[in-house]
Amino acid sequence: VKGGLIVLFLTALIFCSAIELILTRHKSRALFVELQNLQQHQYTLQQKHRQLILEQATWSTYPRVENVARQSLDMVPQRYEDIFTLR
Amino acid sequence: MNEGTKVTSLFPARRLLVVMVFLLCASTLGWRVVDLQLNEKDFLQGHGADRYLRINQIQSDRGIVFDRNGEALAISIPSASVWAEPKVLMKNRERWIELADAINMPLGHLEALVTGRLNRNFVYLRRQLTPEQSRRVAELDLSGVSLQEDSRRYYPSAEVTSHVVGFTNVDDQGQEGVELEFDESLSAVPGLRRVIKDRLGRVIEELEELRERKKGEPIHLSIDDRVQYAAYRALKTAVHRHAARAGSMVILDVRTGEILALVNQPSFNPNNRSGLKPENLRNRAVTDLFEPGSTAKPFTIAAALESSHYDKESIVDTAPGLLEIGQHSVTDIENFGNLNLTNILVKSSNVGASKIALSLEPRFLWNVFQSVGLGTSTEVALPGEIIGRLKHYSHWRDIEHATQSFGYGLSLNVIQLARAYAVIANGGWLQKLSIKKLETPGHRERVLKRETTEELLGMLTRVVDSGTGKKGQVRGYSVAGKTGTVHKNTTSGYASNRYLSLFAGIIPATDPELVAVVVVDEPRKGEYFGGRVAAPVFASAMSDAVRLLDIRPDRPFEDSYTKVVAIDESWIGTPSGAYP
Repeated sequence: VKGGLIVLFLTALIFCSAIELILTRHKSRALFVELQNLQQHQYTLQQKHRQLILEQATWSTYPRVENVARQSLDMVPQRYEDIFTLR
Repeated sequence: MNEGTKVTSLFPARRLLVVMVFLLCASTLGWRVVDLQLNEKDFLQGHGADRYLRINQIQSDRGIVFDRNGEALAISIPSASVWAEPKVLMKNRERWIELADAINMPLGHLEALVTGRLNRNFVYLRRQLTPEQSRRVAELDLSGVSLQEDSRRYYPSAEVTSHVVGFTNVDDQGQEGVELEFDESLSAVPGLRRVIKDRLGRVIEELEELRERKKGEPIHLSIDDRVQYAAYRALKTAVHRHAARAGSMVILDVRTGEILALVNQPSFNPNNRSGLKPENLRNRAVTDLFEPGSTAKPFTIAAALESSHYDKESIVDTAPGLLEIGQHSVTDIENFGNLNLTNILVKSSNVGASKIALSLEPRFLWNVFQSVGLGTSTEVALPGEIIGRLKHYSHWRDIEHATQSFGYGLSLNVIQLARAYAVIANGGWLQKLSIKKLETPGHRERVLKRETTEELLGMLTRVVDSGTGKKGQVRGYSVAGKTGTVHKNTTSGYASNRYLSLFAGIIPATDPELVAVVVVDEPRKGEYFGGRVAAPVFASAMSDAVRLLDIRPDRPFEDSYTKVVAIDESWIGTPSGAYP
């Protein structure tokens, strides 16, 4: 009888362990999918960042800045005559 | 019981047969099991794995090239290439017109491309699509046409920095400039991983990393994009105005040896290289040699001062403006008579320079030229540097001994000349040049005495204040500089009507921060003197550069236009319009 109880107890333990394995496995898959999504997201953001760097660099090229300053904003380099020396 | 025994023994042969058949079946099956398990295991497992195992590519982009202030000069953006399976694509010919339109290609071209390669399974239709094009191709959803991810390199400052930055080919390999020189650290290698995918193609498990991903390292150049543009604009204007064949300009930071600007004309747009002339690719400041002419004279004077046979007040008699050496003669444009060392530079006297050179040991003169780096490699990290030549003094004939002194008979490139002027500017140090932004200045070695360079700076300031270099003046600043006008050396000797116009300058002369060298190759609109063609380029580019780099004017009060005003407390915080 005693031996039978031990067998029963161990069987129960094995059963629990099996269930636990299934749960862990599932959790690991779920986490992995999340990791994949985050990595994908990170990559997308990095690419977006690169595109923004390019966009910023393109908008701020000096020929363009100079053009806008001169044409649209009517700016000129300060003339030497207009410079005051403060002291 | 008896009956039963009788029955079983009734048909022994039949029974044996049945047993044998069963045994045969069983052993056939058994043998097949063994066969599958032992002999065909690898094959079968491999095929099984093919149903779910995949190799995934982990994207990685080529490093960004930045200027010293963090402006991007070259950057890779994801893009796509479109490819086709010609046989499949033949089936829906009626939609080719849409496809041609989407990828911006003439229909005839597309037809030729596809029908001409019917026996292949893979044809690139167009590589490196714009994001808009790839979106349209994806929307077409045409069978036989697929998109393949790759990346495309963009150069926002286009032809302003093209010779320095260079470019890559469609396979992302550096071809020119920094892209080539630093290809290894810039280049990226996509990672490879073995993964398990489910029925829908989603990755459900990663098994192993087959190849580690290598990220492209970013690189920060010493170039200042703003100064670069100032130099580019000034040079381009001059090359255009004088209908010159070509031109180069380089600007150095005197203290660190960093190259702040390096421009050449003609240039090219790295974003669109169709119809590009190969000669426009040349980074002339590095790959082309020239004779420095009069811009070498300051180094002859440096040798004179270092020799201690001369000082600032030494007088050299240049009359009658002609010096006969054997069968050759050295001439000045007029008879300058007695000149001190300063005036030899101010008037740019060939006879004066020659007489000084001939009074010095050839070895001594050679040593000074050699030590300031004329005709020796700068070892700057740009592809294709041509070293040039300073002939060894033991091979000098008398006439060569003389002509070296005013810059004929030796050859060098623009950055070498700039480095040599930096020696005068920084107190006598030969500073290693750098195209990368530096945290600490590179190696340097002392080659001239501090007193020598100080005296030279004073003399060269006179050249710009009252000599041949007047057009190199920058308002508010003292400039030290030297002009040069060189007859071009062609295969048939020196050409009488083809010139190089040169100017090398240092600003501010009292506390040098920048050195620049300008070369204009074959100005063809009449003017060709270095002081009239090259010096204005220096003045134009440097007046922008000193403002952009916040370099303090060292001559603010010597000009009548500058008003000296006392600060009135009440101005502080008022709009600029309220100033008197």
